Amino acid sequence: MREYLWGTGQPRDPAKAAQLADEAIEKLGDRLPRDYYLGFNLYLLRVHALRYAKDGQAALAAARDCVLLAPATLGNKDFLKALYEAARFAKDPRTQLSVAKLCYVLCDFTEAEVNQATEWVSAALVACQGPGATRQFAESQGDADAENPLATVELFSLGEPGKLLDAAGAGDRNARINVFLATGQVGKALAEATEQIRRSAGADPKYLASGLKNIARCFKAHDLNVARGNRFLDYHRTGKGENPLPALEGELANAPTP
Amino acid sequence: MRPPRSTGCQPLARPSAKNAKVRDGLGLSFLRAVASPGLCVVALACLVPPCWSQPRGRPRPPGGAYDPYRPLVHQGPLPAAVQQALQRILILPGQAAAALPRAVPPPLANGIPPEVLVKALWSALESGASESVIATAQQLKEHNLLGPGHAALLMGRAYTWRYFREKRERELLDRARPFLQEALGSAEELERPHRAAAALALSAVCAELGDRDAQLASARQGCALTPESPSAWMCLANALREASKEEEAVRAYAQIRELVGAAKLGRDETVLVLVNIASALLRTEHGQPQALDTIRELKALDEPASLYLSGQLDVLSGRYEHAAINLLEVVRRLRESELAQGASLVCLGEAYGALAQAQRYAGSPGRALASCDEGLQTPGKAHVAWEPRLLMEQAACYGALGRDDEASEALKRAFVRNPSPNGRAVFRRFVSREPALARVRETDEIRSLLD
Repeated sequence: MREYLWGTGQPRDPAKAAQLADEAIEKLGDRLPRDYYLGFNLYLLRVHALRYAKDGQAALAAARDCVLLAPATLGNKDFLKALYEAARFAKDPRTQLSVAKLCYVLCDFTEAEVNQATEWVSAALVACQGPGATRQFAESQGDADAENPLATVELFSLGEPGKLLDAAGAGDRNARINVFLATGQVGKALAEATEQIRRSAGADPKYLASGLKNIARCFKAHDLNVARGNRFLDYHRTGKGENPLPALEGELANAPTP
Repeated sequence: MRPPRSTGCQPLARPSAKNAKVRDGLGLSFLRAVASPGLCVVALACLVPPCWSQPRGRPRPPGGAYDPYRPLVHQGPLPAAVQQALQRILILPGQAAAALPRAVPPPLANGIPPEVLVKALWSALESGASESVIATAQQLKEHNLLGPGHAALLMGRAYTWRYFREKRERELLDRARPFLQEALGSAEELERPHRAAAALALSAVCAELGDRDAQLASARQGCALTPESPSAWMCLANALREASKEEEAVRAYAQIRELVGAAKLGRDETVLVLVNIASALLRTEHGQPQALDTIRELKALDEPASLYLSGQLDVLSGRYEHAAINLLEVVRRLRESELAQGASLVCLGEAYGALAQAQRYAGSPGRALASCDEGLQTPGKAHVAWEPRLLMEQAACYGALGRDDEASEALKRAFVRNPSPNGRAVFRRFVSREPALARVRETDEIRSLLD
């Protein structure tokens, strides 16, 4: 499939790659594992193949199938890239911007991923609203009080929140946080993430690290900049300053439910 | 429906049965079959690592649970993974980068000072937007918003970046080279460290093009411009080694050790330099005693890369079974760290390649083939870099198993993935020297690749 998709070892034929993916998915049905190497990767290749073989809309539909199979993929940078590329191929600037916002909200709280998502948002803003909006967005990243043009953009819908949550399963906190963030339920995501921190004593340190990153992602999703997320991390790293967590909880408690 | 497995924002773990075998290590079930319980206890006691090499217990705050409303730093010692997660992210240079997406309208860039522009473009390059950096630098140069030296350096570095990270096409090297030469010659516009950066990138480009003289000359220039920089010395030492000036290279590596000692680098930087030194010294004829010293230093830092290097040293010394055990452990640890965190000094694919080689030399080509297959299915940041090596190793495994047709196919793929002159030279050296490929290299198809 990879060889047909990327033209390595075979002449490039994305339609053939998409057809092979469909056949594999159909044959395996419910036996298709929901892990990175098989289920998720197969769907991811299908998203890429459909983008080239058909169009962006077909690829976005495939991305929705992928999320329903494994909502945990919503936190994976390869998936976000595939999603954004699919939106770019949809040739609809509003869809592109809506997906770019989703990628910004979902991406991990790391420099590389936030920079990547910022670039996608900037490109989508230029395409949809012109360079002025892009500059405004850039300003809002440095000055939290500046107007952020992303605030009025709707998040791209990946499916019904209830179904996505069922797919995430009760025990996978990271997947549930991904679903809550993707569906605009930042308050619920924050509750899960704070609980994740509380329960991380005695567990692998990665669990605590994951909880901290998830809270920082909640700040990013709500504020659409990284200023308070950074302050939250600084507070826990140095013990200085004010913890912005209670303020965020207060804001989210008063926010309308999407 | 089964719940999906995940690790939040990180790549997802692979729960295959084959992998479980790797995770569990070599297994001790044989002890149950052949030994009495008392002997098992003694044997296990011998296998248990000494207490000082065991990881510290998992963190548990005094109150029994972490409180997100109190600073974590006051709730007990923070493990490395948590400290890493607590690092704030900086997108300040990216703030300007955000205003410079793929197509930059010049009026937009007009209000931004040149140094911010350069920082923004560097930041964009580091985050992988090489294509937009090239287009933007070109545009800014045309509108006199960026000097020709800075523009040349950015474009040269961007093409080099694309070659090493995205696709290994010779055209990218040919494009990068003149830009880097221009930047290196821009003494009036560019400061010393910028010109040194151009020299080091140029050296890497020339190495890929197989032009050893130019590689060494530019590495010497880079070192002369920033004699205080360990990375410049590393570049020079590697160039000297590849130009068969081994004694000079070993002296250069010793110089790097001195610089690192004097600079009082942090743990991560020290480890990175030591790993590079040891890895390079292993490949020299006279440097192995020094390499061993360096590996011991890394072991003292409890660094997994030391195991990888020990494995390499074992392969070179003919202790293949011992190497396979070490490398299997490296793969196990890397799977945990790479798949969970996406960061490691030693690349997972590289470790799989070394493991497969050790297993094959130890007389287990079947196991070696399985390691290659597993390595080839593993995506990674440096996939383009290690895939050819794994394909060549896979071909050797097929050759050792007598499956010549498959060996031939694997070789053809490795050849396609090795398009640079340097890559082709590595390919030819491997195929013409590898005993397991003796029959395959006599076929017309493969012989034509070696010409």
